[in-house]
Amino acid sequence: MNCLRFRALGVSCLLLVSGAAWSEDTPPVGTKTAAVSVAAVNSTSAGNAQSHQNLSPSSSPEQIVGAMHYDGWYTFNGNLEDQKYSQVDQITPQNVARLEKVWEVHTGDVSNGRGEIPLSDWSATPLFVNDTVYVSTPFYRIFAIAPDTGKVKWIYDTHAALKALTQPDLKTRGVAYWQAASPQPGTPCQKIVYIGTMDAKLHAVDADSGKKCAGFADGGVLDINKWNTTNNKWPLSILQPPTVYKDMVFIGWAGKDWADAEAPPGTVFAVNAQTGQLKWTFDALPPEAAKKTGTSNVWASMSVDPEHGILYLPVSSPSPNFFGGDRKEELPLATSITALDADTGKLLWSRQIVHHDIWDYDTNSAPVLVDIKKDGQTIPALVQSSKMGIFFVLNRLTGEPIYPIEEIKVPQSDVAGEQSSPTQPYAATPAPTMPDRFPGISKLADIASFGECSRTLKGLRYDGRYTPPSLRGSLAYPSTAGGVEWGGGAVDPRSGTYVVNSSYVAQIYKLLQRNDYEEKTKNGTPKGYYPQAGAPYGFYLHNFVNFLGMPCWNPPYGTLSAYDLNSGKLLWKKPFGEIQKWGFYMPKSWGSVTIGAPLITRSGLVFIGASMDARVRAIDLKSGEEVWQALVDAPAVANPATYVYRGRQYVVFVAGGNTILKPQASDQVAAFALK
Amino acid sequence: MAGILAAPQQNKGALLLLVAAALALAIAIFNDVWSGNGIHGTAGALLVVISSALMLIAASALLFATRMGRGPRGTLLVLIGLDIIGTAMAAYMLEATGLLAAMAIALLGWLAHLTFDHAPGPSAGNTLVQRGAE
Repeated sequence: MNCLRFRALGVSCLLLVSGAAWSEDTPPVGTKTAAVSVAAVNSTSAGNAQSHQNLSPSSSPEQIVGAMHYDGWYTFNGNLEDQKYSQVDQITPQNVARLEKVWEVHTGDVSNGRGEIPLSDWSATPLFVNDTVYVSTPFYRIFAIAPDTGKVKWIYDTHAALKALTQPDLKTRGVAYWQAASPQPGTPCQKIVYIGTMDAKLHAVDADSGKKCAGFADGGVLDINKWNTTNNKWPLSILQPPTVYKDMVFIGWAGKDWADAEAPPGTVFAVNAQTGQLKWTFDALPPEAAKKTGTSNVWASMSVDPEHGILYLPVSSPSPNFFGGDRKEELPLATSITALDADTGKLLWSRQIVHHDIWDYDTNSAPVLVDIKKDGQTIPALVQSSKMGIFFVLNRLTGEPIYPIEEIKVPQSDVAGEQSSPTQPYAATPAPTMPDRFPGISKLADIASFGECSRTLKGLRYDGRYTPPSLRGSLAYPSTAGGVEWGGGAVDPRSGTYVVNSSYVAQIYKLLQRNDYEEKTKNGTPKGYYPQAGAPYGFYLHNFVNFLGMPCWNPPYGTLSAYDLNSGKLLWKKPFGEIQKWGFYMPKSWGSVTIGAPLITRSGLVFIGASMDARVRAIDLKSGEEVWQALVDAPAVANPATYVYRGRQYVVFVAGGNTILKPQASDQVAAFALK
Repeated sequence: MAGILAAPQQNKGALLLLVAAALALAIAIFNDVWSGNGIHGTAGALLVVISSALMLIAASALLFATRMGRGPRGTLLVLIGLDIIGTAMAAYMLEATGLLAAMAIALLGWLAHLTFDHAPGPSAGNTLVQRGAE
């Protein structure tokens, strides 16, 4: 499960939480059949009567129109392959300077957290499909918006409890869409929009009318918590929109794997798109292990290879996040890239990217699927980014590496009861975004704090990548804050150019003996303390900042990079965005911590928000130079979307903010087009 | 130096400083409350509202408090100079170009006050001070 929770302390972020996975010295596997549970579920029972609906086969809009001509944005990642790539090319590097805001919508669904409603973090990718822009809000409502005017067509309200049940803030990353291959006019729910809630409900809504689809599950609402039967300690929050493929909806979920050693195991559910009937489930944890650990769930987006019918899961780490002494057995599917037969849920192959994860290095984004031309061959590939800043490029049919992955020796834990993995997978090509060594103490921050940064560092354990958490405190660089976050990268499939934003955050991981933890938290739980209840150690995690909130490490703090996947070479890498503290912008050469991903258009532009400075930008794909920017009301931490409607190209950003970056929230959806 | 600290012969520079400070305050308030500029509601935006307001008060004193002694006048001039520099630096880091431009005008006014306003000889433009002295 995921986690990640920083709190903005201004210049840097604060932080985090979530999953941990494990495996001892398990080398990466190709095709693996280890202890996993794949349950094929009888789909003839359950569900509701479908008397008023035609159960029809589905196609994505892309399949109907043709991939090379489709000018919409119908999934969280633009398409099933998670390419975040658009064929549209009206806006070019030459004319992008004429881009202006043509409409905006304020949903009203925003909270600064000062009242009864928790703070809102809004990362919803807008979809454009069915001639409509669909976006969910952190108050769990769907807005259907006219794509050219911004006029709201309808609003659907889930009436979900606005409570931080599993996450500290109200969150959503968007909606999903399904439609029948041949929608019957006048028949409801031939086109369906899905929205998930923090209290584990998946609502199915007619895309044209905004009315609930009564034939889906229980009157239009599927409660996946009814399947939460092992270590049911909190609801399975559906914050990431599910993945829709053919007539199936694949549902992952988020929770809090920093809270308990024993937690719900990370089951992925596949249900019928029209009825909500369970088709199959998949568990990354063996049943025996699932009872004493948990999570290893899929809280990020998934990708699908439609040609081969393969579903790709970014599997997160098992619970608790930062201590694996109670889960020493092999859990080879934890913190992995796992490929399933989309129709049956059967495991095809899996590759673990972190063994025995005790850093909360969840696999945190869908792999990007793209064909690579290498050594005269076209190879069906995937690119998996990571919180470690390492890229794993694999043959997506077999899981075998296209660029070498080696097992490197890593520092060992000195914590009683822990048994860290002696090696970890490492790929030198494409070059990791983050350096292998801590970049050193920032003199500015050190002087400003009268040497606090240097003194703190001297007391920490640091032995390079994968330094384990310790009782005295360990420096984690990269940390759970990334590296590359849940947005992942984007790819131009024609050239094999892969663009990705990365953060550079140093954090301090400190395990606390249970008695010490109880003592520290007896009057309430201060920020950064995580119980890991049931484990012998609690945990304290915070950013490595001085008393002024200044990062103690040298910049950059965020970059945008482009790679040629055909050669594995870095094309360009530049600081991206600007850090803000109290409104003051720091030097551009520092870059900004980022949340949210880029998109690429056929015309050679990269559009991205993501940065702390609440700006949205266009970047020239070839040079990496910024060619356009605009201010929005808060950091645009959602993946943007682009589409063409009635001959005009629009780029849409959701500017919702995220306190990981800075304490600024908004409810703005902003669309840009050429003057 | 003694000439600079003496009562000025004219007030064009101080007037320009006053106008620039008023302009700066208006811009700073707008930046603090308008939501589309990236800095609204921040501590930095509030800081320049305060510094601009102080500059406006000080420029007013410079212009209208004609009986001010050399010591207070000198102190006021130094403080205004620091205020201009500090506000300009803040404006630069806030990427508030309008405010930065206002500070450039304020600096011109401040320099003009130090030089031209204290130049010997009567001036046709020395109106407010003369009236204030009557």
